[in-house]
Amino acid sequence: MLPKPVRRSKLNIWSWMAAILLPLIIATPLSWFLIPQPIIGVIHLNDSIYSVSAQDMITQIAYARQHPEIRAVVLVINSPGGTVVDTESVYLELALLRKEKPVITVVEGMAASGAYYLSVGTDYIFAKPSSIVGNIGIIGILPTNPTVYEDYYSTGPYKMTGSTRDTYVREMEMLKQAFWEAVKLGRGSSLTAPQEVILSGQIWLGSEALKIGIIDAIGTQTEAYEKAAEMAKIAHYKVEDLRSLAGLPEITSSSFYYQLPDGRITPYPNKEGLYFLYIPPQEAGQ
Amino acid sequence: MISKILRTILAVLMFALPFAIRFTYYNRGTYQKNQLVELPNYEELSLPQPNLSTPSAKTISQPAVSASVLIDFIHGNYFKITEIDPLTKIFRDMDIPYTITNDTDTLEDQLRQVSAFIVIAPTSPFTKIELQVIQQFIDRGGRLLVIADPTRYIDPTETFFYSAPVVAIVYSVDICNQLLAPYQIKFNQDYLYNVVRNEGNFRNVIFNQFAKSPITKNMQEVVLYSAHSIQTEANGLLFGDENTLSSLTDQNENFTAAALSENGNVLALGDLSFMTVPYSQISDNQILIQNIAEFLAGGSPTPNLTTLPFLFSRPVILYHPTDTVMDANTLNAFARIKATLDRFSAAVEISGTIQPDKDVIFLAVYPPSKEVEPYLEKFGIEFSNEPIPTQSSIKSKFTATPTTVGSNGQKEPGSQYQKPTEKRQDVVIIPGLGKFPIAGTGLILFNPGEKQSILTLMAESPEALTELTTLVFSDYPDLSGCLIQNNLAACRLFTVSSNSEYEYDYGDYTYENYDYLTQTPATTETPFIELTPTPSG
Repeated sequence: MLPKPVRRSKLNIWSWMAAILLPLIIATPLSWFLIPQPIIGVIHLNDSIYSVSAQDMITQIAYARQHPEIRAVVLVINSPGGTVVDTESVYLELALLRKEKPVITVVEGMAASGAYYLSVGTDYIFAKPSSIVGNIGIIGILPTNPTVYEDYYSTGPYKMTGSTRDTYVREMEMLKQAFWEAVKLGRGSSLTAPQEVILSGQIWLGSEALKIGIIDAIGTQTEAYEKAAEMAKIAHYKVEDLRSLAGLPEITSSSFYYQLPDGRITPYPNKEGLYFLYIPPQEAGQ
Repeated sequence: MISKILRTILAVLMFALPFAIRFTYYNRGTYQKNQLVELPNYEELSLPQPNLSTPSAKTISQPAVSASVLIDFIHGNYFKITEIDPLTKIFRDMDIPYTITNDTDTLEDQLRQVSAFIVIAPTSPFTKIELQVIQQFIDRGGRLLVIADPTRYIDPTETFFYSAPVVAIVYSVDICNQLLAPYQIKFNQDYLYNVVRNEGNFRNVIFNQFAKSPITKNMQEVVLYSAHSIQTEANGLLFGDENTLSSLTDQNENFTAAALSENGNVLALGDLSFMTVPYSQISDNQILIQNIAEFLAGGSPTPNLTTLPFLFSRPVILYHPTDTVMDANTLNAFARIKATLDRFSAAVEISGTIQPDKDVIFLAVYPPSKEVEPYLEKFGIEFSNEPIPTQSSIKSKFTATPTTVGSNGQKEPGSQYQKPTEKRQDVVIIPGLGKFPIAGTGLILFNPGEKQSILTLMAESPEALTELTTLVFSDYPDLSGCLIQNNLAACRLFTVSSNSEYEYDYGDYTYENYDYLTQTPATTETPFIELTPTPSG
C-alpha cells in the first residue's frame, strides 16, 4: 500500500492525463464527423439542356446545397444550350446555390446560348482558348397560321398553335431581354463590348471572349477547382462528381435531338418550341 | 479547487483541439455567403409592342381611267395571292381590276390590257422574250412593281424536288435583277438588320428617312420585316438609321430598301412581309401600301399598234355618216369591231358625229374622205398614180435604144425607138416605208391623244376593209405580216377588187425597194407575198 501522498500524486497525474486524453479521444473522431474534408462538387453538362439533363443538374445542385461538406461547385460545361424553360430552371437553381456556396464554370468545348446563360449565373467563368462561347439569343420556329381542319376541333383559334406568329416573335424578343439582364447581372462591369455586339448572337473563341469580358479567365478544370477553393476559403479539399454523390444513374442517350429515319441524329430539336440553342451553321443552312 | 478548474479548462481545450486543427487544416478563412445574388427582374419584362398602326388615308386617289393590274404567277412566284390582301383590297376600293397570269404564252397579250404589272418573289427566270415584252410595256408607260424578299426562296433540299438536278438554292434576287437591270436598280443578296432600334426583332427594320416621292408621301415611319437592300443609281426611297446594317458586310452602306426608276415607272421593294397581315398594320405600312397601289394605278401606257386591240381608254365611236347606206361589208366590219371591243368592256357606238371626249374608229376606202384626210396628213401619207413596171418593161430597160442625129445636130429618139408597154396604178406613199400599191394594201393609222385617240383603217374596197378589220380586231391580233412604223402599219391584203389596175406577177420580181416577210393568209387561199418586218414589228 502506497503512502497517502504518493496515492494522491498518482491520482493527480491520472486526472490530468484524463483531462488531456479523454477529450482528445472523444473530440478527434467527433471532429472528423463535424468538420469533414471539404468537397468541391463537380457537375458535368455534356449534353443539351432539356428536361432530363436539366432535372439531373437540379438534383445535383440540390444535393450540393443540402450537404455542407460540399463547399463549392464547379460546373464543367460542354453544351450548345437547350430549351428556354429548362435553362431557366437550372439558372434559378444555380442562383439559390450561389447564395450558399461559390459556383465556378469551366467551359470545355462549348458554352453556347443556354449553356452560356447558365455560365453567367455562376461566380467565375473559365474557358479554353478555343472553347466556343456566346451565341446569346433565342431561336425558334414560328407556329403555323391558325387554320381549321375537318377532323380536328379546338375551342379557340390559338388552341392548336398557342399564339400568333407575331406574338411568338415578340415573346422571343422578351426572352432575349431576360437573357441580356442575366448577362448584365452575371458579368457586370467585366463586359467591355456593347449590348448590340453581345446580343448579336456571335460565337467567340475563349481568347476573344476574354477580351470582351464574357468570361473571366483562360483556365483548366484544375484551375477552376483552385479558384473554387480560393473563393470558398478552403484547403486540402477533394473533388467529387456530384452525379455519383447524388446517386444519379449513368447518362443514357439523349432524346433531345431529332433523329432521322436512317438513325442519324440531327442538331435540331425534335420538338418545336423556343430554344436557347446553338445550331451549327452548316446544318442550319441545309 | 484551482487544480480542478485548470483540468477542466485543459479538458475543454483538448476537446477543441482536434476541431481547431481540422478546421485550420481545411479552411483558409470563413466564407461569407453571397446573399446578394441578383436575378433578372422577370416580372417587369414585357412583350415589345409595335407603334400603333396608321389607318390608310380616307381619300383614295382617282386611278387612271384604264388602270388595271396584272399579277405574275408564271415564274414560280413564292407567295399566295391572299398574302397581299392589304394591297388587293385597295385595288378593289379604287375599282382597279386585277388579274393573275399563269400563262407565259399570253403574257404579251395580257400586258397590252393592263396598266401595271406586279412581280413578287419569282423563282424561275424570265425568258429573253418576256424581258423584252416587259421592257416594251414599261417604255409605253406601264408600271412595274418588283418585290424580292429574303425569306422567299426555294431550297431544293426542303422540297420534293430534292432529287431534281437543280440542287442550288434559288433566290428571287437574281431573277428580279434580270428585270431591273435596264433601270439601274439591283437587289443585294442580303437582308437589312438593326440590333439597336427595331420593331421587336433585329431583322424588323424601322425606316424613317424618306426621299421625296409619291411613294413616300404622308409617311413618318414604316417597318419592313426582313428586307433586301437595294443598290441604285436611280431614286432610293427608304433609308434606315445609322445602325441599319447589311448582312452582307455588317456595315451601314446607306442602302435603300425601295427604289424607283428614273422614268418613274419601275418600283423595286426589298420586302413582301410588310404588305401582309398583320405587318401591314404596323406604323405607316398601310400608307405605304396605299401609295404603292396609287403608283400602280397611275400607269397609263400609251397605246400603240403593238397593243391592239387595246387602244382605247374612252368610249369609242365607230364613224359612219348617217346619210350613207351601210353596205354588207361595212356592217360585217362594224359587227366584228363592236364584238371585239365589247369583250374588253369598251363602250362602242356607231355615229356620224365625232365627239371630242370619245375615241374614234374610221373605216375608209381610198381615196380618203375629207373627214379622214386630216389624220392622214400627220403621217405624211400621199397618194399617187404611177406606172407599174411589168415583166416586159423591166426587160426593156436592158434593150439598146437607137438614136438619130437631127438637123440641128441634137440627138433625137429614132423611129426605131420602142416605147415600153406601161400600166399605171394607184399607190400610197408612206415616208420611211416606201410606195405601196393601193390594191392589196391596207393601212392602219393610230393617232393616240390625251383627250381623243383616232384609229383609221383604210383599204382599197369595202371587201378589203373587212379583211383588214378581221386582221386587227380579234382577241389576238396578228400584225406580223405588216410593216409597222410608229403608229402606222401597212398590211398585205389578199382581197383585191376586180377593176384594179394592179396585177399580181408572182413569176418574177415586180416590186422595187420593198422587202417582204412571210404572211400566212388567215381567211383566204390566195397565194402570199413575203414581207420583211421592221425592227419594231
